[in-house]
Amino acid sequence: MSSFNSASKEEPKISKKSRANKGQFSIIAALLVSVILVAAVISTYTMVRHSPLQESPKVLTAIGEMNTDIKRILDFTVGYYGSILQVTGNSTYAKGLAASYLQSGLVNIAHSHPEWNPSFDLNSQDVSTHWYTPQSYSMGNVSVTYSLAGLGIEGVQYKTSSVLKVSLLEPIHTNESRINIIRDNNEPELGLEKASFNFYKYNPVNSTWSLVNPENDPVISSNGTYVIEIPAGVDQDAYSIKISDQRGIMLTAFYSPASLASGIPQYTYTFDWDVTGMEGIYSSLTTDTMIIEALQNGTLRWLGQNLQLSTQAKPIPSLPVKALHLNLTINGDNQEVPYQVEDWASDYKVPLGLTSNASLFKNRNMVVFSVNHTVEKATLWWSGNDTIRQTPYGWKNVYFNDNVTNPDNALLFNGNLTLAVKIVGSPPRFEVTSTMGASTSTAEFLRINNEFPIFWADTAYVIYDGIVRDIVQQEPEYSGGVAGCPNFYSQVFLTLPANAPYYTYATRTIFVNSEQSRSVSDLSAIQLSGLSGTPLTEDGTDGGYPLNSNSTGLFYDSYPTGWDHHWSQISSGNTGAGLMFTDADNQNLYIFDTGDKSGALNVQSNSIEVNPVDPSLFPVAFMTPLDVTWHGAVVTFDGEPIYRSSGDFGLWVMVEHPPSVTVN
Amino acid sequence: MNIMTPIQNTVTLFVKTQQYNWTWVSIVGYPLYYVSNTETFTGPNDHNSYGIHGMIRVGPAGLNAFLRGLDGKTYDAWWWDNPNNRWVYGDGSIAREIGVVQFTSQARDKCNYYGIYPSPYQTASRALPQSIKDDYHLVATELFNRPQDNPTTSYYEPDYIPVATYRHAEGGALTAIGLTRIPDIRVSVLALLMYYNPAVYKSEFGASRTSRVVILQLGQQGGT
Repeated sequence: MSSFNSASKEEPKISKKSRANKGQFSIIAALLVSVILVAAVISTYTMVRHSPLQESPKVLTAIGEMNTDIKRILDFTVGYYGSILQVTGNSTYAKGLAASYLQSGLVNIAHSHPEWNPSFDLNSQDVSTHWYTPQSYSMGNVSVTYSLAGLGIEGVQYKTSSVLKVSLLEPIHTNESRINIIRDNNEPELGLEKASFNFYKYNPVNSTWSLVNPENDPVISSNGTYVIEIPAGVDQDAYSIKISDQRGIMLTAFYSPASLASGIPQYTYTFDWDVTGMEGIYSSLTTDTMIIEALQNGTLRWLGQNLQLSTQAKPIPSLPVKALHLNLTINGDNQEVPYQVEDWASDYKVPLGLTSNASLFKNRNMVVFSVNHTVEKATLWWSGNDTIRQTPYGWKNVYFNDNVTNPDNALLFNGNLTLAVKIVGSPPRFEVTSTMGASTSTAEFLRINNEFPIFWADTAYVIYDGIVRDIVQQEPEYSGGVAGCPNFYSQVFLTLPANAPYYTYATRTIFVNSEQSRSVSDLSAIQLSGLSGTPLTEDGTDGGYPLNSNSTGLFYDSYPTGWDHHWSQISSGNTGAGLMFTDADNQNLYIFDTGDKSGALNVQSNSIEVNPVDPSLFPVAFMTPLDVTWHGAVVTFDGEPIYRSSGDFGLWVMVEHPPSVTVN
Repeated sequence: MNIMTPIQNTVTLFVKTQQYNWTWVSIVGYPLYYVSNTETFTGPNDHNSYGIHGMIRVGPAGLNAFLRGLDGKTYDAWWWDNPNNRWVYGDGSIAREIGVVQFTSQARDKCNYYGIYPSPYQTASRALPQSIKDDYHLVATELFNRPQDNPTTSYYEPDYIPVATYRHAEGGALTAIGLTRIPDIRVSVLALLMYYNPAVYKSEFGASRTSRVVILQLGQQGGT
């Protein structure tokens, strides 16, 4: 403008120019016109820049960019939440980190557009996952009010959500997984490839889960349904699958036909109490409480022996422990019941305690629950809700009344049976006395080469006031080691199931590889004493039913009659006590037998011993390592004995004919 | 079994073990034995082929000598028990059985922070007297609440520490796990984490090169 004003002042000079200067005048005039035109263009451009009508594209671009960035941060946040949840199972922790992540993401957005001077108010945000179910999802919502002071924009409110939702469908063909996948606004997700699908494959050797992709890309339908080939080694009838989309949002879904049909993820254990035709015996019993241990690899154990499964074992996924529930179906009536999840070490040999409900279920955990012959099914099911609180059935004590104030003289009461756990005498001995009604028995554990162990340490009350059982543990020691048997260690743990007429023992002996000679002339797993009445011991079977003997003395392999010596009791009428163990431990009784016999039940008028090496039989010598545990149950009864001569009734059937189980 | 236990990054297990000079010691067992990361033993008379060094027939005096050694004192068969104002013969066992003990609230917080959940109650059969803190210039980071007094015993249970990491005034630390057999190895790592208080780098979840804490358990059982 200033140049335009200078040209006007010289105009009189231009009018006095000669004709010779007319051409120059024309040029100047043209320049002036040009200046005017340029000025007009500049003016117009300036007006356009500041015109409200012309601001819209810029503002809309900025707002659009902000919204896109917020949405992307939310996508990442939902993915981040899912990844933390996968590792920890702790939704409170994961939500906290996700919230921090979202906020730092908004700060980053602000830093990336300093010229706009953005500021954000986070009104609300939430992330959640529903997982390990046939219908699973991960989602997040956010509501943000932001301003872009640099553009004069204030108070823009933006709400958005990010969703990944999957529904596992009934497969049409074997070996395929059909999955419908939906994303935001109920739109089908069509952009996933085989790398997006990770099946959980269980390795039974090291008891771990690993992720495997399908070999081929999925077949995708326009409605978001994917058909995927299930990788080799993954159980087609029960599997978990982790699905991640391109935004990083992930979730884990679980499939089994029963879960799909009911909508509730589950394993159902169906018990066949008549697998060997013993339902009649079972149905006569009232105290046949069996404690079932469901290990991570799908094995079901009872009294140290695996139950026979008529279907493939189903490993338990890495679920949050707090999500687990257990229902029993009894006479058609389905009801939730108490259970407990336990921590163990050393391949389920060393009990550590109850599992924290903040944990994920791993290969050191087991689910423990009790059944009897009235139980048709046990259903282990879980909630997919990431914020679920553990059911009281998983932590509340309703059966036990224990007093462990003095660990050397503790009393455990399971509702029926009282267990006095004591350290007595000098040197200290570990003594356990069980009492039910008028019956009582006392047990001590381990004896080797006629040397009784010393129990220097307190008893460890690994679980007391438990939910379905207590566990105590001790370590037998030998001053200066066992004479003639170097490099030897041992462990004893007992369990007391709720309401049962028995407690269980596990006496573990660990013979370390030895360069010194080692001779064992006496090895007793348990000595039960303080008994009175008539002895009765199984001596072989006939048609699955016990043959029995009321003799005292040794019962060993094929002596006096059969190899079956699963139980022995000393009773008067229906009161008394004894012990019983499964087939596996009956065979373990003879573990040191070679051509000569070493192991025996040693029954006397008032005592019963389980002696893998009986002092009156053949000693054994070996230097190789051996880690073996003898399991059994000490039954103290006042009403229902191990064996009742009339009609073959009794608790013996629990160890000789445990139920088989079908898992679905 | 009382043991000192290591904390390490798996990638640099050996380096870190040496750097921090961790040593595993059974201080109340019989015999007293230990595994050193820095000492080399030679010959069959002072160690076995697994590098576990044992002192046979040392009995409870081994613990007393060990603690005196930590404090730079020479071992003396008799020593002055300051809190109790008496001379005590060094062979006397100072560890006590104090029964079932519960985690402190701080220990529970650390369980949540680090995601390690050993059973919050344990039985302590080799608790050490709190007097060792004064006697040997130690500062204890304790994991368990002291129990109430058991009137049936001749000692006062609240004076005993079940599990702690003891830091010596002049440097170095000892984690003593006084729990009955078989102790949960996770208690050891919790004791170390409470002592070192390392931060968990949350952003590294799922990322490579994350740090791990590895606790090695010498054996599943104590001595014979």
